[in-house]
Amino acid sequence: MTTVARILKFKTGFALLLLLVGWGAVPCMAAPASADLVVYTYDSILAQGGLGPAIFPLFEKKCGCRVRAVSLGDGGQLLSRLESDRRQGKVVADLVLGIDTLTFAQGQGYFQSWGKWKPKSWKWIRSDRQREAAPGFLPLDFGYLAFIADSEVMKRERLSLPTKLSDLLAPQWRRNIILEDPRTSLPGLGFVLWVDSVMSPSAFQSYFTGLKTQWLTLAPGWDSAYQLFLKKEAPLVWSYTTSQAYHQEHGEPGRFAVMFDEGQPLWMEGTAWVNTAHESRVKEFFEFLLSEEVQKLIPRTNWMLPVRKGVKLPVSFQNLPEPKKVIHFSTSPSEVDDRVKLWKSALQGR
Amino acid sequence: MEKRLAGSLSVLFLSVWGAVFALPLLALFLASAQGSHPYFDADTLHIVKITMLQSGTSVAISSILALGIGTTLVRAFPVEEGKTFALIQGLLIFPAGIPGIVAVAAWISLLGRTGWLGSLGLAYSFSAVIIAHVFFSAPYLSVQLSRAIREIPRLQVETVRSLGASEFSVFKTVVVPSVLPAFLESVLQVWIWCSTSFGVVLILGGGPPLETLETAIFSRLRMGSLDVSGALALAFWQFLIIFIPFALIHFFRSLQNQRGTEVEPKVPSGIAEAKRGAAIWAMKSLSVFWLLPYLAWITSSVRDGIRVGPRQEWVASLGFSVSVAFSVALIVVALSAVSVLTKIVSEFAGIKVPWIDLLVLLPSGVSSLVLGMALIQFYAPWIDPLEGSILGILALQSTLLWPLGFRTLNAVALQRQTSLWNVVRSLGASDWQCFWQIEWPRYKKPVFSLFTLVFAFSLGDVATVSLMSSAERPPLALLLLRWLNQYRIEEAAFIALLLLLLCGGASALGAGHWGRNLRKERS
Repeated sequence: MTTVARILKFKTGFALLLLLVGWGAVPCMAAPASADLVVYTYDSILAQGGLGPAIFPLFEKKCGCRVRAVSLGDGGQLLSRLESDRRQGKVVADLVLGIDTLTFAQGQGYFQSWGKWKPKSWKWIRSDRQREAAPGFLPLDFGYLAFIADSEVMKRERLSLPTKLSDLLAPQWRRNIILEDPRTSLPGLGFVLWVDSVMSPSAFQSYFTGLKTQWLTLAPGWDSAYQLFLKKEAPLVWSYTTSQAYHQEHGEPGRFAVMFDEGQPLWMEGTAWVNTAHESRVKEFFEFLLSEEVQKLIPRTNWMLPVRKGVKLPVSFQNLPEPKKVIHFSTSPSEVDDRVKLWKSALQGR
Repeated sequence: MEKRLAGSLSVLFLSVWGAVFALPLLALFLASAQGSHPYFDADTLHIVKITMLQSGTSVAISSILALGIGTTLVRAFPVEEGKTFALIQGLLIFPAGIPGIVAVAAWISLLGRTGWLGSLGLAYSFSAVIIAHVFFSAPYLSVQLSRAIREIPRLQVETVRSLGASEFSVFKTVVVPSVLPAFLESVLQVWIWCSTSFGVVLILGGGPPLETLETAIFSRLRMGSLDVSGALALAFWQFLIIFIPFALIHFFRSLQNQRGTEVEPKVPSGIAEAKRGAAIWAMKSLSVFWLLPYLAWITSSVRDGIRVGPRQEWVASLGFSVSVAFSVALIVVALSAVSVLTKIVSEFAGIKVPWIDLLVLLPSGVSSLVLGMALIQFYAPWIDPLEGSILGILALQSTLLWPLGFRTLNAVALQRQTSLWNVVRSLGASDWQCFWQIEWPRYKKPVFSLFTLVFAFSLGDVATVSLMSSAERPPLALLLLRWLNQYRIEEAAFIALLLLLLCGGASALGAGHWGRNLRKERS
């Protein structure tokens, strides 16, 4: 082959390559379309089959406006994004959808107060959830954090169900529990705060010193923890009571939520208002979120319980066990930080 | 003229290096300089100790195994040719290209409770991390060692033999000094991989208290309460851990005075000729052995069920991931070429530029999370990561893979054929013709191999893309995580399988091409 032919061949290949690169890159670099309402939310809400794709078209039709949803991965990334927006002196989002109470407390400075205003549908929210919502937080859905057990693995390992936290320290549970790292996972943090809520500080530390030999692994996130559980690596995983509903709907009754004597921590997700520029649109969206039309979609799209009273639940959700006690943990950022430090020192035996 | 060109290239090199690495990182350090960083607190030092212990053990075991496997590989294939050679070399490189997220799933299928070797109880422990690291490091080191051994001039070996030296003396006086510099470079690469290993330590290690620098940085930057100060202290240690072995290797090299050694045109090495059949059989078995975790994972995934997800979702992600991986591979090759060219031209002009090696190495000592954060903050007006910044992804991945590219091309440059070049030049050929005819044939295989390896690394990368990709078009690795989050386990298994085939296949293709191409040339 001559040098010229080689160069020609190389050029043709290179041009094809550039085309390929361009094909993939252009849509990603395209400028975002303008919108009447910008919503920051999580990856799982926007994914196919999630709550976002189910409700945004409904709202767009209702208001005759355009909604733009921006996915931000998880709670940590949400606050980083709000901080980044603030540093650049721009306010992009009108509201945040799917935020949990812990992240809400941590990001208080970014959210707008409602003043005297309240959604008209507020009265339809369950009274307990109304009481538990901090000012400026619109409850959307809730659940309880709980251990999910796999009866098949329990049988294989000849284990009996734990009923209280101290049961998990028994030798039979050694390397039989999957938990999440509280520094990188919100449910994992929920576990630490739950233990803190039901134990004294000294008992908290000795509990985790004992528990560190019991877990099989401390996964970085709920997804990796649950994947290991589904692979039958351990009979217990820290998750939500609503995971039981998912398994029931998929013909797996052997995976169920375990209720503890100490009670279960409440996990509530909602919406927070960021930008006052589109006030009427935001208020309209808040009302929409509390409507029966949206609330009845929550169980099968977000796998959580709706906050609105009287919403008809799927059978799998009607069968969910009720917690023996509902535990409310502190959401104060400094207290949360202290607990994580205490947890860490317990792990290091200090 | 040469001095001017060297100067221009140096300016170009320093501009790019400064823009994508030094300036953003410096700005980040300065921005957080007000607070005191916990460089020497007990927690940090404990993490440093675990990181060094983990990496040291992984590298030591891998190196010992590589000595045996590498020499057997040379015994089996004294020259790089033939389909069997290409296949075996491809299989040996295969594990190095597998994304961490897939490798972890594979190891759980093998070592986990329901895995083939579940009864050993090794999963979620320090041992599991070491085993996983050895499984991708040892075959990679073996291939690199075998390449170095084949580069030894036959004449040198024959001369020592003719003087009555024993096989051990030949090994000690010829083989070891010849292969050590290249082998140590590869060992350094493996040290970098192991000490910055993320997914394997995070999941297979069982979580805290087993924590290394990379996973500790992750936990400090992941949640809303960013602990930038703590992350920077850990990043400083991570840099030291990479820099010290690098400095030692270069010091050792200067003692060996191996730099710029010119080799004769390659001829088959005469180090081992006997018992070739047994060696080939051993290599065939060994090359499949390293694939055991992946075979176990494929088997268990098929048993548990694999389902192809909605086409519009994964095809778009695949297209985006492939485009990014191609672009990153192109950029890395270009950056590495500029770096090596700057070195060569400067040396021709009589200017010593030892700083290039050091500057290019530095990005491999910095966590992707730290560098990503630095880039995001420094280029905040132009890069909006959460909107999905393709420029951000390209800059971050290319910078992190630049050291790998430089080391690959630099190894070829160190053995340039100066006398042949001078002869052809004296016959009236231009510099370009000399390069095309003499040097390019030596470069094209390593370049292709580098291209495919970088392509594989980029395609399977989770850490950098999770910082800068948009939700509307997630890369394949993020789509996999998203589907896992939604209980779509069977569809996620399909994505993982796709990544395994694409990444492993690309790296194996690069290594295999090495052998096939040589055969074509010889014929």
